[in-house]
Amino acid sequence: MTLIAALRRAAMRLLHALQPGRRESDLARELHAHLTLLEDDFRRRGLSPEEARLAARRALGGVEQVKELHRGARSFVWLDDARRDAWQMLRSLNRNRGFATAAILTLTIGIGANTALFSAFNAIVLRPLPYHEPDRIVFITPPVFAVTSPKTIRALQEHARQIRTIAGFIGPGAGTLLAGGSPASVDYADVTWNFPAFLGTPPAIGREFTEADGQPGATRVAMLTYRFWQLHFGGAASVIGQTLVLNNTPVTIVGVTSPAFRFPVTGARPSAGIAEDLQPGLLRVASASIWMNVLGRLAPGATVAGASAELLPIYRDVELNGVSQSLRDSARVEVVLLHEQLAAALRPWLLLVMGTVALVLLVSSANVANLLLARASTRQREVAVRAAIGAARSRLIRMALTESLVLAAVGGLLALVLTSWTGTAVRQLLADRMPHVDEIGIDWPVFAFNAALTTVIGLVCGVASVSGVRRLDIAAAFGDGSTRTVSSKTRARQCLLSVEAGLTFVLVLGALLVAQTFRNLESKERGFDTRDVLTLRLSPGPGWRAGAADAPTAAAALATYLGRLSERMSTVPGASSVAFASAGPLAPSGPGFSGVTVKGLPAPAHQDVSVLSVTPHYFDTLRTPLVGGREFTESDTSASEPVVIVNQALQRRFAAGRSLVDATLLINNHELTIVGVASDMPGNTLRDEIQPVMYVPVSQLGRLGVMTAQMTMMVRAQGVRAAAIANGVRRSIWAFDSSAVVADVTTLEDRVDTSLRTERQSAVILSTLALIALLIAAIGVYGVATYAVTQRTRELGIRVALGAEQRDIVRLVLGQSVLPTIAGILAGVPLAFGGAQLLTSMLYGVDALDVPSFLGAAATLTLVAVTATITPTRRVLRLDPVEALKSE
Amino acid sequence: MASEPKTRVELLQGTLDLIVLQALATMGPQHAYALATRLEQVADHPLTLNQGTLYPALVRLEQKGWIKGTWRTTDSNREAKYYALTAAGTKALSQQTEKWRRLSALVDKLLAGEA
Repeated sequence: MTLIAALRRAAMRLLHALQPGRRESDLARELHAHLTLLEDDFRRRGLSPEEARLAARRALGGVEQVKELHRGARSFVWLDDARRDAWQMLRSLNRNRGFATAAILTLTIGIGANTALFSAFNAIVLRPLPYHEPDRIVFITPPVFAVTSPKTIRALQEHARQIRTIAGFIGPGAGTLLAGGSPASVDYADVTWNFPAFLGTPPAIGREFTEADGQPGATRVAMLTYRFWQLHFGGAASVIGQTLVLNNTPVTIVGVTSPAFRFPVTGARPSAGIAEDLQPGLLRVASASIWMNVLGRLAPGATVAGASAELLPIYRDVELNGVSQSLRDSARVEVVLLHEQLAAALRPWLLLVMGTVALVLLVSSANVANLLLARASTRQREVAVRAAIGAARSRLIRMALTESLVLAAVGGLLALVLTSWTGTAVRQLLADRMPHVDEIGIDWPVFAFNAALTTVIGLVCGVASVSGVRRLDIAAAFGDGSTRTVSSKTRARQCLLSVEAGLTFVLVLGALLVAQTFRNLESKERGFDTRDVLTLRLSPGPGWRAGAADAPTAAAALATYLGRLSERMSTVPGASSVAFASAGPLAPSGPGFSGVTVKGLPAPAHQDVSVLSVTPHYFDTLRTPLVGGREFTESDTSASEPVVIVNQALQRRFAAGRSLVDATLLINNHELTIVGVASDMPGNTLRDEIQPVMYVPVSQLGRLGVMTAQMTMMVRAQGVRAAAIANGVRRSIWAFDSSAVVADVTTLEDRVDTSLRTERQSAVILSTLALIALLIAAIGVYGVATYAVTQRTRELGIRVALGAEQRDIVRLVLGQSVLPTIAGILAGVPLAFGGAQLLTSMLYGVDALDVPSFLGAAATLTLVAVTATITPTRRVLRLDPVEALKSE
Repeated sequence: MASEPKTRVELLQGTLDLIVLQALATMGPQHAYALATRLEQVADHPLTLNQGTLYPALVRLEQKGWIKGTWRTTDSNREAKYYALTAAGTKALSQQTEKWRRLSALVDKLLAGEA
């Protein structure tokens, strides 16, 4: 009962606080009626009308006071006050549009950049992957020279105790789908039958794969992914049960994945400069004969390290039979949480950008505090009037805080709008980095972050103007003493300007260093001609082995297979030369040998050498110059003399740069004749230091006790663009071997582009943010200079009247605004030292303490500061002494 | 000295609402002036209280839904807002009276014990 009454009252008070006019007229009428009745009574008791009127007012106790009492009981007065303050602030900001725009814009950029980044951070780092038990899913990388074949998967399922379930996939890669009439290109992935269930997303329609689907000889079945189904089949349920043709092989569609399904890979196919999210359109149950990437689910209580130790003997037994003892000994199985695997590449980048946007926010806050201070001094008189007519100090402080909070709130709201606009851009930036970037957007955590940030920034900026209220000296403000209080304010403003300048300096320096890194990498000598080369990954169909049992015969069989495939390619229009390698340029070169020596030369400290198996014409196809000797030819067969080509890095390390042509390389008791030395080519990334590499003919690799059938194919196009021959190449491969798996069809140019994406993005983002910071700093300098000029108009007028030179006046204005900037830069140098050190690992070809960059950043900032003072300075120079003396 | 009026107001606040409810219960619907006059009769010192002090109590009771005001004309043909007890108000009055009795009895007992 009482509770209901209390709730009802609270609701009514809230209502009245929000609509303060609601009861006023009724109250006035009631009080008037009350007074009339009192007057009637007093007159009846014999008072004159005038006396009765006064007596009635005395008895009631003052109409206004009663109204105040009534309001106090009726509504929440503080809420009403805050609302009124906020409205008043909005009106006053509307009158000072220049100030409001500058402050709000600055805050929008500062808060917006941080909110946008947080939305990405939230989606990528804080939110779990969209899978069942995502924190138990691990990615398993097999030992060097081993793969995970279906046989291994069965062995792992059977023997591993730390891993509960295993699911495999290969791809996604491009394929051709025949549905009805015309062929369409589709990204597809081959998966184990349990793959969709493993990730835990039930199908939208149709059924999931069953164990029977995975049996050899079963009808090949596939699921469409939701988006592909919507795009290409209009979401028609009739697709279930249809038989389509994927890469010349019939496949029956049994289901469609749920809309929430995301394939757990990163990577993008850059098409026309835009990175597309590499989500497959179709999942097919893998045929039983190829290798796979594997995911596992940790058993309860199992650890990543435990799983890694447990899996190694299984891999040794199944996959490492034919290889040399040293490889068996050094083998390691890498088990990494899927989330870490996906986020690892992103983390430094994310930290860099987050640090940068935080700096931008600091710059904007300093700028807004600066603007508020300026405004506080111009409003000194108004505040003094309010104080003089009795406004409580607490109320004045509250008004000042309201002002900055209103500004921050408007900025924060606009920042949310900005975030929803930039959402697409952020998704685009991250498209190839995480499988669930689609989820980047505004949700409750992002909203809460935005609101909290807005409030904090509003309060922090408000402190500046509040300090003005606290020091308020009413008499001084009313006297013409504005000059007396100004000096401390000016100092405070110059301090804030220095802070802004220092932080901006750090940002500009960071942008310069990262931009140089990008330029250095982009212009780096690559050792191959990136133009017009199509590359793809090829897994030969099961027929390639032709019954070969051991590594040497298998290698010979593979060489024959690849040789015949190469011949086929000559029929593809536009294809001029073809080569295969176990790893193409800008890909992990993978395996290697340790303990390599050159006969007759002292062994260097590090004897590790990566090995790549390549077919004849590899260097010719890539147009990689040989610095000595010859290229492999068709006569380097499994039966001929063992030969090897080394790169310059190997020659440098093993022979101090002297030519190694015709020397003999010793590996595990094998003697290989060096027939050529090739120019250095970058390894996994352009950034990596080039390591010693030896190239072995595919036909002879088996003799070293190792074997891989996973090849990268490179086709040089002539007369047409590389992408134009993709379909022809794919068709000829399948005409030759209908069960070959083709993946990652792209061009070398795109691969170079992709490998530079992080650097390019970092350079673009940092430069943009540094430009924004420069703009904000310019606003700050302009504000301080204009303010100084306005405040000192009279003084400057006197100086001009007394014959001051223009030079002196200019020096005076610059001293007020550019000097603090320079002071800020100097103070920023140690900060920049620290910041640049943190950048070190991301830089390439430029030192973190690069003096020209420091000087360049300082010069840029100073130039911007000087430019920002041009307008105020010109105003002073045009000053008419007579008018100036009349001011105020 | 400074704290004395505050104590008095606090004491009055709880009782004032109860007195207003009680007055409305015994006298039927009344306007603020009539209630004030009644209060002055009940109180020992008629001038300790401005009549305007009634208004916050009226707002409180009205917002709690215990009384309801309607405009009517007085016997002397003046307009005035008459407040009447609602059903919830009647119930609340008996509850509050009971509570007040128990409280004052307790205070009485304690004060008697002190003496």
